[in-house]
Amino acid sequence: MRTEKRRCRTQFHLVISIRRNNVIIDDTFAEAFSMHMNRTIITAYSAEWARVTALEATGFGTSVIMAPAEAGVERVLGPEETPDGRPGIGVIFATAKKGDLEQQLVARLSQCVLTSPTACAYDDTPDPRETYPVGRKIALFGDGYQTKKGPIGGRVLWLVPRMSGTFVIQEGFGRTKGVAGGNIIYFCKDVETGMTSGRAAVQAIERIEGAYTPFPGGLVGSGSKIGSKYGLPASTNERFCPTIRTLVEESEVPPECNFVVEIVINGLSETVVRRAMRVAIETVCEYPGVIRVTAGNFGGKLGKYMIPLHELLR
Amino acid sequence: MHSPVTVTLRIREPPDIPIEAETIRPRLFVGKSLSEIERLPIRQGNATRCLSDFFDVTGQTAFTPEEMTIVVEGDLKRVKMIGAGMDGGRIKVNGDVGMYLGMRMQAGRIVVRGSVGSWAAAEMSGGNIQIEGDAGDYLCAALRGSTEGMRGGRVYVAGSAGRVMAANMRRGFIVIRGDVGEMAGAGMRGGTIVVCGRLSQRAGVHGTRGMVFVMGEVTSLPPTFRYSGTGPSEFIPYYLRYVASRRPDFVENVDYTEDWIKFQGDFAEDTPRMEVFAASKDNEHLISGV
Repeated sequence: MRTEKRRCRTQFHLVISIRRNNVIIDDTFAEAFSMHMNRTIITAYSAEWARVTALEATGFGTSVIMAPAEAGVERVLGPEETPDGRPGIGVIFATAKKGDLEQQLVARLSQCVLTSPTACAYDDTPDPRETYPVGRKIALFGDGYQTKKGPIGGRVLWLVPRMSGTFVIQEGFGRTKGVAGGNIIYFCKDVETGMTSGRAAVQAIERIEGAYTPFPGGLVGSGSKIGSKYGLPASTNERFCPTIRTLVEESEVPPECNFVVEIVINGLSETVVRRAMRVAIETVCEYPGVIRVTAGNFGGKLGKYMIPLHELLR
Repeated sequence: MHSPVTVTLRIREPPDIPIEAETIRPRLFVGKSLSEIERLPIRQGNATRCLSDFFDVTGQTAFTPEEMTIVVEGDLKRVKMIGAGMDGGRIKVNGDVGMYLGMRMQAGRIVVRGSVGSWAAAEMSGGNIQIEGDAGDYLCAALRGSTEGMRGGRVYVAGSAGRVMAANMRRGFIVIRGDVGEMAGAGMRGGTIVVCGRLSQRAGVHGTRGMVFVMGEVTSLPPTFRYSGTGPSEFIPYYLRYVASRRPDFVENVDYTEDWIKFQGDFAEDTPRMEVFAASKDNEHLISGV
């Protein structure tokens, strides 16, 4: 890794960059926010089906700009790590408003886990600030045949008969405060480089307990800025669009770049978000064709957390 | 975790007539001197004696039951009702013990390094009892004339249990590593029983709710229990994992792909919602005629 001074042509001030594997790491920071979060363990008869269910349950969970939650796969759990000894997946759901989390959990667990053959759901929120009776509400699907059991192993369970057997759901699901909006943006030579390195980074983040990437496959293809000339809440971040670099005076896109990827990282704490950002940077920098890494922020005016990239790599 | 403050009771010799030692519980020991403890009453036949007539008392007492451990040692087969009505603290029994251990227990923990007589944990409503030997008849059962059996708490038996276990059980959790005698769970109305060994006949008669998981062979079930399917279970592995986490010596490994045969009953009752699950590998005979 070496340090260099580079004149940023958009902001006309000296930016101290460092390099990792010859990839420039900007001296900038990611800006992150608080969100209300729940961690749930989804189990099923096979690891593959647990993932199918988890992806369904966390679907349409990209950005609260329009999606009702920011949701994603946290990590893969072996049978020895799950409450019922079956293969599982940890998922995290996040909402901006406290009051929306319970509704999102009821909707997603009832429509995507209850409906998924053999799949079951257990709360796994660390140090919850409050608990919602999500399981009790969903168990009403049993129409009188549902059974309440426990507490056993620290959980009250509802057993709900269904066509594929029994749906097991914990009675209470917790809420905690997490950190959302950690991110890296990186510039690549081409599509192949960007996608291959990005998917490797998302896989690496999946091994970090407490962190998740809420966008499709963990990758963001349309990083946005706040506001729009049409009055929309968000619009394309033209400074990072390779195809209009000649039109945008402040473009950040290097000449040899044709593809830009953002990885948004949420997590149960700032520490895990930082850890995941570091792993993401280290992973993408291993791929030839990755040119430069930066991060999205709002000048530090909006977010509670600021995560400098260089600090992560020290 | 062991409580730091211990009083040890060592019985000098087995009493000729059984004694009823329900005063041996942490709540009645706290804040007392050893001489006060020695004067605690003990029933023997139609006479009231005191603790020191039978036991040597040593150690020191605490100020709350939670800080207090009572260790009872010697030949205790004729000592009944140890820990009856217990509402906190710990009792350790080193050796075999007589009837009614932990009867109507509400909270706390009893560990028995031996076997227990009949009616252990009868009508228990809370707490935890670990029995390293066998349990007699009527473990966790309702007392005579009562419709309310076990109402809560956890009981683990490393050996086997006798007849009419968990009669009229309403809530709670029982795990037996060995075999269980006949009529287990008679009149059961809730709670969960795990049998790692074999389950004898007539289990669950008059049962209306509750669950029984049997990992070994089930001799037979009453004809008023109906076959309700075979397949892997979403929740039995949850229970077995819980047992394995508490007592690894009870359950060696949990196979979530294992098939379970389900019976539902008792259809002689208005609400036949009791469920008996038997591990498929040893119980094909249950469904041979179905």
